Amino acid sequence: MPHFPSKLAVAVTLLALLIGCKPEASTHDAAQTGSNVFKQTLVGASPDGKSVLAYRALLQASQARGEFALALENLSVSAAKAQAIALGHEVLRQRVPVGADGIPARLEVLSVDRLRESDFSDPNSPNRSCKNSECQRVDLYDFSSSRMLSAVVNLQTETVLSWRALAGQQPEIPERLTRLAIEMAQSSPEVLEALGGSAPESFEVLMANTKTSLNGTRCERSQHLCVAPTFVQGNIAIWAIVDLTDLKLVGVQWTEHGQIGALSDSMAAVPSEQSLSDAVIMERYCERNTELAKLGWRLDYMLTASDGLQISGVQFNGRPLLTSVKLVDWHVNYSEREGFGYADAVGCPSFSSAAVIPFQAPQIADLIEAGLVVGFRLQQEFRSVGWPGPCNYSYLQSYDFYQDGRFRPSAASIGAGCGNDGTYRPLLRIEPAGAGWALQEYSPIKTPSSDIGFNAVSHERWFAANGAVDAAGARFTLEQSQAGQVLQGFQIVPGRGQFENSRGDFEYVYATASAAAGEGADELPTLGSCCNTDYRQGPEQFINQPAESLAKGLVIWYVPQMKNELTAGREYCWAYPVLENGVLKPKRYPCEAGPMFVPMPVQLAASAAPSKMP
Amino acid sequence: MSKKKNRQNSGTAKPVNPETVLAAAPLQAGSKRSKALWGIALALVLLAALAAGMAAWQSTGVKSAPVFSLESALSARNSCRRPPTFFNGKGFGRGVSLSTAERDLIGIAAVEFDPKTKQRSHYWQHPSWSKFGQFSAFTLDRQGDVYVIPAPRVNLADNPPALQNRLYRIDASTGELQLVLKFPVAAPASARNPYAGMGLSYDCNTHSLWLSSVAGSEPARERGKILKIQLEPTVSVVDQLDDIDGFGIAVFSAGSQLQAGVSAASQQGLLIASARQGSVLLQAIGEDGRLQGRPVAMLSIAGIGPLGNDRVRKIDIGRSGELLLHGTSFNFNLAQPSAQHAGVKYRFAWDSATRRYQFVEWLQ
Repeated sequence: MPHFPSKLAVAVTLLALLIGCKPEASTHDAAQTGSNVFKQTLVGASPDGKSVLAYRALLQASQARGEFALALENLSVSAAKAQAIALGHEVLRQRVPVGADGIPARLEVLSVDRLRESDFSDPNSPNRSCKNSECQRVDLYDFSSSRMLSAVVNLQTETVLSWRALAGQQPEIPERLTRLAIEMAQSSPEVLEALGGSAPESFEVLMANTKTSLNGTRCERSQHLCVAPTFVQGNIAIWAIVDLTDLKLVGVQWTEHGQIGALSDSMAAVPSEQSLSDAVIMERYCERNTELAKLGWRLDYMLTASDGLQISGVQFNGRPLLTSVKLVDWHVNYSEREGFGYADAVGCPSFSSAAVIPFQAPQIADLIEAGLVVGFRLQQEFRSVGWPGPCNYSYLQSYDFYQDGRFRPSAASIGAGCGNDGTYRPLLRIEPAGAGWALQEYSPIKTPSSDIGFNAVSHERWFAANGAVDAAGARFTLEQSQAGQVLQGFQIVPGRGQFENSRGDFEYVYATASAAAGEGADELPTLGSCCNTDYRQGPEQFINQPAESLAKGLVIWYVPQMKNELTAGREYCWAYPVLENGVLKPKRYPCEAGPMFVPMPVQLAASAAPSKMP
Repeated sequence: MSKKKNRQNSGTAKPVNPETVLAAAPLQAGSKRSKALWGIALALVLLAALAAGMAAWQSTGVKSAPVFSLESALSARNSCRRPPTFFNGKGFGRGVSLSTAERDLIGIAAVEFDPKTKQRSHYWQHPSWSKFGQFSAFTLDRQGDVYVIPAPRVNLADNPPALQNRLYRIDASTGELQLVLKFPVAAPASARNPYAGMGLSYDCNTHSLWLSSVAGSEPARERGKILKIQLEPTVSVVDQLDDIDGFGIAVFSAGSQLQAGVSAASQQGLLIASARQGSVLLQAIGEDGRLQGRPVAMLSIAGIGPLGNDRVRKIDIGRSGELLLHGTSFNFNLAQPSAQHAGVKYRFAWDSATRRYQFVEWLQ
């Protein structure tokens, strides 16, 4: 039986192989970061590198010479002539917008080529005279409107025969922009990091610029002209996305493909601005917490499916302070149109119920007063794709933490809504950590249910908008006690115009018993109506009848109200595009609201004891 | 991408004919008798293995995967659809249509637009049309009944995730909208994936619907379904394809002309647009009207159009077989496409030389 073992092995192997051939659950790749072979990073704001500074100098020199467009150099005689005729044409000069800074829209010549016969074969074509004389096509790119302009120039008559504008096209870029893109990518710390931190031995540029093709890259959100230089060193393949409108690196994607031969498959996966951004944000901020420890503070943060950027497990100097804080919803209503508005959730860019999503990762920045670092701000911006266009929105969610123990959750709208009658109402949910918390409300007068000063709030209830504050600006105090000992206490100071970008919070406040299922400890997809103008913003649903005691823990809901304004010089909750340094930038007029929690000395907290039950 | 390719390769390796395997199994050198004995033993082992493998495939909804390439331009199978009569007497002209995209209305509405101003001049809703939240895809059948599926727009206030795996029917004559089916899902819609039904296509030949759903899908796992829903005698699911996130869907015939309104095609299948990518897939339907194998890639709009990353939400097959793909931004969230880039259509035409659909142009 000389063949038994081998045949048995063959049979068993085949059996194993066949059983192992059970199909994958999916016919095509999910293309999400959790399972892909790529690593990605986004690039935040960074100073211009040498190549960008040099290019900006080139653009400035051209503007200083009074040129309407950055011309191409080293052209043939006829191409140079065509370029000069096109750039001198009155139509171009009339239509190039000039910004308030006196700088015209950034235009660059991309190419000058002899006209093809197909361009004038139509007998009705304005270019039909090119059949009998030499014509050149001059392609320019208008970076302010993200469109290509094409002029057809008859060299014999020295006239421009036609102009054509093309939006949504990815043009071929000239050598100087190709070189710039490669240099920007090459010199970036992110590309170096992708290469393992060592300087590249050599870069082979596989794709310096991309055209409209299946492998073309796009900056879908900014609508800027972007290209994707690709580098290979050893077994590492790197794609960088370079924004040629803002002259910045958007992000980097890389993979260790193992062998050069395998690269052809992965080449098809050239990232776009959106795919790169979504992949990074989903993997790093939507699927797990990030720990942040700074200036005595310790917390976790992550993006939720519909409750914005949530912080949790917040401690200050080792003492637990907050279970979580999040932004449940934005209510936007338009007063001149009955019932017209939106309830927008903010959250993860994909697999979420967010209507307004992040394009960038959360940012952390120092808070500086009198030149000194006094704290830090954790901030997330959410945007609609068309912002700052009409009926598109941008929201900022921020958490300020100070080294003296103050903290402030806040929410800001940066417009740009559907009109000048919009009111924004963000729903902030603040859950203090643990039990033993007592809330007191300030009353400036004696009433049947309260004395002058701070009065205990023992049961669930809501508080009318824009309530009175004491001399220190506090509307409430919140203190935690254990066995008769005050552990910590805070004054809750609403915005009354003292904070930056604020005209006051005009806040509704709600106190509810904590941790009931479905009351916000988990995701709250949509809470309340967009368009109620009174206290019925949603959290009132969690006030039971009869009202529950707050003794076992409470949740504070803070719903400020910000009315937008479009009056020139007084814009508020608004944004519009302006031409700045040759390209369109959003001019931002945020309106921000949120309560400052100011720590009270423990003895002061103890003295603010309840004087009367409401 | 290599991962995707590998998966497809493993898919095409699956439909092995037992006879082919047996014939192809190499025999080692040895006596004729021992060869025969080992051959029988090996055949038994292989048959057992195949039985186990087939059972495993059946459990995931995969039956077989014949290579499916088109022989001709496609023909639509929904030309028998008729308009409903509930419009009558409501003051509409010839321009009346149904819409689920009116910003100021919930649900579905009959609308008419002023051709000069392009503004809506007239609308009507049966009281039942706005009771179940926002709707997305809808289709008519040969009797004028309207079938429609819900989908959230901007927020979940009107479309609770638990109520999204629903198919509703509007009676052609009364206009009354009623729930007719709660379709199966891998997992209920949720805040992390609030969608269920995505696309609908009516098949005149079988008086049935094809529905695509993404309910239960996760970032790294497609758990959506393609469902065949018979409409008579009861509305029920009669066939399904699992683990695929489809968006726009269209049933087609190919290979021959329609005869007296009924296709005598040699090929029939589904076009299924991916909800995750810009691709459109080709899915075979057997002579018995059931799904055959897994879908294969057919064409893509990736990189085309003003944004370059649209998904195909609706597929129209024209009379000459050309395809008009209706694009939209979709990323498994509630972000709305910007007005500037909404409503892009992509036209593909059949190229008989290459036997493939070729991109012609995008329109806005």
